[in-house]
Amino acid sequence: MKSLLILFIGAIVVLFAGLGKKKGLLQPLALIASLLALGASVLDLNMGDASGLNERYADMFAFDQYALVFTAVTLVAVSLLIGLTGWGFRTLSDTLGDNLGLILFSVCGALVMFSFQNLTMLFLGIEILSIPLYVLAGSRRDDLASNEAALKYFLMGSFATGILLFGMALVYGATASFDLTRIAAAISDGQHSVGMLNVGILLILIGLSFKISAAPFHFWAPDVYEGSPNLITAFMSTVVKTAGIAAFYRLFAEGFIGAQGFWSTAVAAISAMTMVLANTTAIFQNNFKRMMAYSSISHAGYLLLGILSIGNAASNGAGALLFYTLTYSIATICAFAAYMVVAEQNRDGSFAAFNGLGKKQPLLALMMTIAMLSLAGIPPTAGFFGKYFLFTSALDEYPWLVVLAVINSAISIYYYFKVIIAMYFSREENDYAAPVPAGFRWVMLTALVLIALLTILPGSVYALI
Amino acid sequence: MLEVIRSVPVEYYVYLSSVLFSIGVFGVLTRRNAIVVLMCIELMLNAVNLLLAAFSTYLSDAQGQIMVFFIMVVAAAEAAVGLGILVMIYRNTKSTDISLLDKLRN
Repeated sequence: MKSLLILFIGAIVVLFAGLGKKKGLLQPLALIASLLALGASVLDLNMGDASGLNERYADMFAFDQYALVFTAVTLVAVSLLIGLTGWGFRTLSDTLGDNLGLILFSVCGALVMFSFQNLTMLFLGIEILSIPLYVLAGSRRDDLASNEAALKYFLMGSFATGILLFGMALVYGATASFDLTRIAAAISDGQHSVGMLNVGILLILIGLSFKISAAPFHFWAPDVYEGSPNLITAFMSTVVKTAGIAAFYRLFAEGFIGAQGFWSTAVAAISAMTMVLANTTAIFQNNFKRMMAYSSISHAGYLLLGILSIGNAASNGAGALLFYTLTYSIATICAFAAYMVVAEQNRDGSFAAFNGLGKKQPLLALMMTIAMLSLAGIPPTAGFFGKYFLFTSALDEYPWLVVLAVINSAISIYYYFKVIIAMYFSREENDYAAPVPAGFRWVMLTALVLIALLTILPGSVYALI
Repeated sequence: MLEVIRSVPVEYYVYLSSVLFSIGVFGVLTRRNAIVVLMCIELMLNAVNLLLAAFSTYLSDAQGQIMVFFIMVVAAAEAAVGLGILVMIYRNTKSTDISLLDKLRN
């Protein structure tokens, strides 16, 4: 709750500071708010909230260990992203305060999605996360691609919300409550309309699949990711995905655990379809941002394996999701940071933009290489441990799905290595005269240290939940 | 009053709102005018509101009606942002036809 309050106040302060003349203050203000919120959530880990703020709010929120660790993961990603805004948003100086404020408001929604105990709060959290993002996706107002991305994201987002709400209404009709514990109790009593409940759960599953961009509800993602400004694309593929999958896990583990026999088959089918479709399509992409969009869809497929481990007492699905989302977020932000510098001089966005980067900007190329290796899950990078934890959590009950996931990670190596090959082994060499901006260097260094720490000590993060 | 409302079985409300919801989904998937698509999304949300109000009455539980208020507030916020995006696009393209927006490769 402390983190939520700090972020909310910080967002309002940044929004109003944007009206003033000192634009240089905005990024440090937003960064301070994000780091303070991160500190508040890390301090509360393992001991709860000593100030009594962590009580349940009329059974609406529970800021328990699960919520706190995912809050910390998200805020690490957000702090890194805000570090990139100084140079990343330099063309948006007249709306800088609005953009930074909207990012912080959006993160407030993510925090609500980590801690909800009631379907009303889940709905509000998703909307608080999404509505600022519709605006941010269209933040380059004169650029038609950005406009198109905003409209597509808005229409698909509200469509998904409608489906999600219809599902919630049916679950309410079947169980007579929006509260997660009372829904779970009603399901285990057996005194409910099974048909209505199952249709409701299925519609909620579809609505959440839209949000985490799992197949067959992923078709909007490549267009939206390509058209949005680079920083916002990085935000969507890290923070939104983390929030979506964490809310997914909480809802199904705490609310719908009694109906697992029904939904686990559907989740397994969605997971298999997502991995296969995304990886086979990503092979044929020539545009870096579209490749990253399909890569992010395929990671949604892997993340669903964590949902399938619900109910298996021997595995720690939540810990695996936590570690995976953390490594995935850091690696994705690294990749987008390097791409933003490269795209400044080679605007076509294809893999050829990276030609010869290894010689001209060795540090940048090294960051990109580590990010790509981590996303592909090559040992000994942190991404390998993420995949290892996630795959073993589902191995007992879904061995065929884990085999499929391993085959798909092998396929994914191909398209991640396209970037590395372009950087180091291409005959043609682009000109990279401009130096890397200072903020980017700090963000990349921090990310490098974090990836190294996660590689050395994977177990300590995994065991937090 | 409650008896009068309950003389209609709750299933009928479920059927009615399912039909309204389906009309909304069909409109979103087939219509090409962004404003009509926006109206169809509103229709979907109002079908949900009707269903929640009906369940709330039959279960004698206020939570459903409170949820209706939340949905109305959020739908208003969404409509504001959506129309803002539409105005921005209209300034650039002089049209609200979403089939014109295919610059990003499908």
